[in-house]
Amino acid sequence: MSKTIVYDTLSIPDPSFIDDEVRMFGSWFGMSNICIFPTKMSGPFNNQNSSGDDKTERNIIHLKHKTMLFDPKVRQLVNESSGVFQELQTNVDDPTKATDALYYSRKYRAILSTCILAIDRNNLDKSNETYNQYKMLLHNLQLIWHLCEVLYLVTVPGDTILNNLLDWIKIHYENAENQASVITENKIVYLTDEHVEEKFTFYWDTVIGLVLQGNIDTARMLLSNHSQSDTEPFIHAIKIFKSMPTYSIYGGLPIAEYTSRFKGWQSSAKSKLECGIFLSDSNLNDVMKIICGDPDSTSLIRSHCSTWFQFLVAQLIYTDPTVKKHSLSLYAHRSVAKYYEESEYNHMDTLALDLFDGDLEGFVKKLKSYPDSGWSSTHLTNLLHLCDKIEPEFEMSEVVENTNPNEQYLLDYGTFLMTHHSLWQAGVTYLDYCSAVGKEHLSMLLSKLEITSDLRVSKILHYATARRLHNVVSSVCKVKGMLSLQKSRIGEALCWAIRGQDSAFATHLGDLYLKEYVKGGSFACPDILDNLGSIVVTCDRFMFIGKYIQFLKLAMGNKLNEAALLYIELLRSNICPNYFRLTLLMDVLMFIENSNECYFNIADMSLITMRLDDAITEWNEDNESDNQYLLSKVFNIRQGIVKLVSISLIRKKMTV
Amino acid sequence: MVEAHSINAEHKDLIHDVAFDYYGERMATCSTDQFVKVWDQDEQGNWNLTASWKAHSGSVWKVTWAHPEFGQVIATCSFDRTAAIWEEIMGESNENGTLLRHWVRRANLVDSRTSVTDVKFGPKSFGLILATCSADGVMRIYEAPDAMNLAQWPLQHEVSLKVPSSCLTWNPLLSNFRTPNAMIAVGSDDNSNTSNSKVFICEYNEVSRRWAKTESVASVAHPVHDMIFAPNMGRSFYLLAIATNNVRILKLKPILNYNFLHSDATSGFPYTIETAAQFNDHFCTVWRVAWNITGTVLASSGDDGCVRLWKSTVDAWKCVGVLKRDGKLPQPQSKKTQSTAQNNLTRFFKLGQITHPSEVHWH
Repeated sequence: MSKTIVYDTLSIPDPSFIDDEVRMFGSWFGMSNICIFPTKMSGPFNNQNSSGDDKTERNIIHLKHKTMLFDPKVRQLVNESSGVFQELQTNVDDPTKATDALYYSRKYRAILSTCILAIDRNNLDKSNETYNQYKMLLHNLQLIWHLCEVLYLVTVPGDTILNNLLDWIKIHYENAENQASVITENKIVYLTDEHVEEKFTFYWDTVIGLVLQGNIDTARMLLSNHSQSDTEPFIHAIKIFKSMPTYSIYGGLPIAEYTSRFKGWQSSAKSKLECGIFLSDSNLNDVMKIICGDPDSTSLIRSHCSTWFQFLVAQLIYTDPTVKKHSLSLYAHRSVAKYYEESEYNHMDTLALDLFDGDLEGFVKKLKSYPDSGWSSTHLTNLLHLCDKIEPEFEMSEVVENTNPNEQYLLDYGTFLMTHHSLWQAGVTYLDYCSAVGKEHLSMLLSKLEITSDLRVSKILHYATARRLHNVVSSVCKVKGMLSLQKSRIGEALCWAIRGQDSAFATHLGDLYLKEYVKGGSFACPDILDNLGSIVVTCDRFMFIGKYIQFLKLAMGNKLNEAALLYIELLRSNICPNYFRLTLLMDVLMFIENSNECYFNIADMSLITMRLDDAITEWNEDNESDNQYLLSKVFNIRQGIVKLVSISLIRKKMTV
Repeated sequence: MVEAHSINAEHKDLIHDVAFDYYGERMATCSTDQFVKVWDQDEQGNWNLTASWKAHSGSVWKVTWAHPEFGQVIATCSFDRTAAIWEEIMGESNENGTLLRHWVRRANLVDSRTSVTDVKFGPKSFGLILATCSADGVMRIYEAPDAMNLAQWPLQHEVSLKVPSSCLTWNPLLSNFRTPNAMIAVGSDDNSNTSNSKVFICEYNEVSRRWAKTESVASVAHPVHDMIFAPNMGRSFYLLAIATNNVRILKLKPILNYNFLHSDATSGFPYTIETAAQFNDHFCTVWRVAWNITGTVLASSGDDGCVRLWKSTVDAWKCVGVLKRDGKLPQPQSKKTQSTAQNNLTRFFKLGQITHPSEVHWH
């Protein structure tokens, strides 16, 4: 019944493609962009004779998908609805709170209305085609959402649905009412004795429009403004209007009673119509025909309705005012058939028909292709699912197993939002409710977000940490660290290694520090090294650096006794990296050269000589090193140790 | 609505490959003119050429980026029988305060005796590992034992497939599946016969510590020009897209209860392979296939000059969009944005608005 459009074709105009031989290759990049480049395939093995300097233009084309939701004016729709979505999910999980689907449905619709108003404010003269289009899309969405709410979420005692349908129609087709107020508020007509129906060419259209919305009171007011309102036909008509029985659920009138009153009222109107009382004014006669439910008026009604569902409701007012919800389907199909000569429905028509038909599942499926990037299908499906209006198992995607369709919508929509540079945080909200697959998507998408600004990096890390996605944290930190390292900012790189608890990376950076020290005799970035934090526990290299700096400080502060204890500890634990051994051993000199004091016992000194021997053997095996300066000091060390031994021996003798 | 942005590639001959870094912020191009160029996106979204160098002494077929956790590293392969690994170095800043960047060759992989047709870095969980394939049908694995030292790239494994190889792809591997073996699919564009298989699966065997060919996919017998595994995203199977005489999507499903401990190179293949989809819409040879970020939409480029987008829906794969080349010059709208472009390589044009509900769904 509906047109099925499989896909859209997009032409890519570019001078590169003038040559018919040129092929177009496409690939994806970034989050969801497409890159296209021109090339030729002449068999990869025989085009070696590169012509060199040809002037052919070769353009690479990047395609970015821009959708309504990414527009700055529509973004509030995304952000606010994600808030409502989250509130709804937490309420569902909380047994103490009742999930009032109607309340949330109205909240979502309120967000839609605010968004439409915001678009209007930015497009006062309606000159921006894009905004006009967006407004139309959102307006239709609101209309269809409201209908869904009226038919499925509002509970009507006795199922007499017409009043709710009228409310729905009145809100979305306000034209007649607006025109009516233009006419009644115009005081000049009264003062100048002008004929109101002549001054306002839309007078009768307005009256009919009001009548077709069941707005009898306003229509009556307009009639009494008519220049002929004191003539007999008008007096009769106004009287009929006034006496029309209105049905109200809480009015106390039983349906049967109301129906008989309505019929009585209509037949008295009909008899007047048949007497030809209104014939003097053809417009008035037409209005009365509608009121009497005359079958001849169908085409008139049709011409005053812009959609088939407006047509349906208009007819119901005067043919079956106490229509029950379950018989709507039948009426709907009849109305569609009468409204359209051929089956030329648009998307909105089929959506509305599905709703009247009670085919919620079909409706939800069709809503998915509404061009709002899944906003409506995600939120409405989720809402209907949570209030048990639709079963979750009605469709299964083959690609992602173990998910229900509701989850599939959330997954698609969340992923879609994550691809936007400023909406990604809203996207996280939806993926959070997608069980295991959602987590997989989150970890992938979070780590793919560009990490250009530091603020964004902290946000990403915050989200990842809160969701225990430690792989994301360590990956992002490593990338940032590597970028710092590329710029030779070792201190910054170290901060990232610490943040990412990346001991392998930290070891590499520690090596850079120590090698720098071997060369220059001092550490870069002392402030970072003073505040290493937990990395000293997880990374051996920094455990060593930390201890070594502590040792240097003690030595500097002339606390040589404590320094010596630490020094021996460093040598014994053997956590010193090979390339630093000699440098470390050199430090023994500071205990030797300045004083005659002895800080080491015999065991310590044998440890020092042992480490020294090891270091020298290693040194000889690995001849690449060119630090002859250190080697020349070996003799000094040995000499110093001999001196120390002698001092300590003398001491020992004396104490004995 | 689609916004297009055109960049003059400034290559003096055919472009063979365009590759983007992990974030899509950097672009590398390579060409028959033997040059590799690197482009960077600035804050305004303009792409600027930041490096251009003669990388090989023959056509450069492919260029590929390593994961940024390993730094700014790319690999190239060429008709000159080599593959190369390049790292970006930042020097001192110049007088304008901007850092000078340049790319240095960290390794030259010269083991192939014929043209090297494809080069790809492995999944980052395996460390810094690289696979190449060549026209003489040899797949090679290189590995940097120390990821912080890019100068060492010993050749680790060689697998001879005996037919000219055109492309390879690493399996991104399942995260929720018990330690599977590393896997690479290699394709062949040998067109001397159309009865033999053109897709080979190679796996690393933990027990023998060797790479070996473990499966030939019999259902693909036409020359294969490109292949790519879909990002896994928590699925319990692998999807392999193949560009051959049509677009093919194979589904590799692990056989449950398969005993990995007793699997060696000869005892079979622990996956079932079925064709998940096959599209003949290009009506002729398909040259390239590419998955989107979540592995839900496939882009295929064919001899018909179109790029077609395929998306998996409830029960089947469906075409969701077609990009068609058009030799006509861009619409005059492009003039508007010229004012902003300090580099006149860039221009914007809108490709028309999509008002109908069937708006192109890329997502």
